[in-house]
Amino acid sequence: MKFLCVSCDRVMAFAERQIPGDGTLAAVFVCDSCGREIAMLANPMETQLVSSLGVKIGGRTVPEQPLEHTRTNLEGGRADAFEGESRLTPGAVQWDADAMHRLQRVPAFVRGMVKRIYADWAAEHGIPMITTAVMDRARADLGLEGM
Amino acid sequence: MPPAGAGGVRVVSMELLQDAPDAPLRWRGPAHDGFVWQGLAETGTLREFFSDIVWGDLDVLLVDVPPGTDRIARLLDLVRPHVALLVTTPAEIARFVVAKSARLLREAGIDAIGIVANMTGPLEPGAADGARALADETGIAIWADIPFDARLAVCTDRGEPCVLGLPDAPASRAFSALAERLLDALPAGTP
Repeated sequence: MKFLCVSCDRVMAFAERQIPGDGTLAAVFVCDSCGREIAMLANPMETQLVSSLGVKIGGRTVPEQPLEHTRTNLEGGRADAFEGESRLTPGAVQWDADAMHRLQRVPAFVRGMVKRIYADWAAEHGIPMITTAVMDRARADLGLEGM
Repeated sequence: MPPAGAGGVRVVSMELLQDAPDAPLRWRGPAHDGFVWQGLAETGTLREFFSDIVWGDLDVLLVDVPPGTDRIARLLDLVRPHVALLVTTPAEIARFVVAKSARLLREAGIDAIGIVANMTGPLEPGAADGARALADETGIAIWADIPFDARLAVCTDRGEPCVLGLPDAPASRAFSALAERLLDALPAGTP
């Protein structure tokens, strides 16, 4: 699905997505000619259906993670069910207390996946200790949202 | 890779991902009309169990699906099994249900199908044997006749396959013979 800026007769570009947490999903599109913005708010059922099909609104920012569909859709899964070491250098990346505290704010059902994304990014960049500053850099680099 | 359990069997189940032994399987989403995406969610997970899990070298990948035809249909959307085993009991109502699965598999072009008659034993005088009736009406052979044996539950409860814990029990011998027949039915070079 695409949106057309009628005034400019141009296809609007995807700019941002937001997940308010109530099951809905908001996607912002912008006309790169006149700067006009519109936002689409999908209702929970549409959001769930699209998510179940594996579609990432606005495209994927990080590579697909193993069992990604299951871990993001299972209700009440074990917190450590999807914990895993960095695929690059297992056990080599450490977390400081502040980084761990921030990680705890990530919803449990995707925490393991998020942890591994950060660990892989740190390993790829030769960073032995993950701090909140490292998380900020990784988030900016990977385009992660809400992690 | 899933750890190898008793007898070197690797198992992956939704049960292993749940946070409590009595937790029902639920999927995230709006509270209403969950049936709309339940099939999508389950099929997506089944696909990931096939594609995302490092199974290692396997002799056989056995997919256990619950009674009824809807889950079989979803499975057939993803993979084409070399062999299908239809597990039934002597009960007539079981024959009624499993016959639908037999038809579904045949219509999907699955040729290697065997019936496993489970929990068999002496029948009441005059009672029909549903498993035999199923074999007769479908032309599908009974590959195994597993007699009811309460000791199997004891073995299972302590995490020991009966073929290891009670290798000489008639049920264990039937399981072993079924395994041999299953391997013989696989095309050469599989898995």
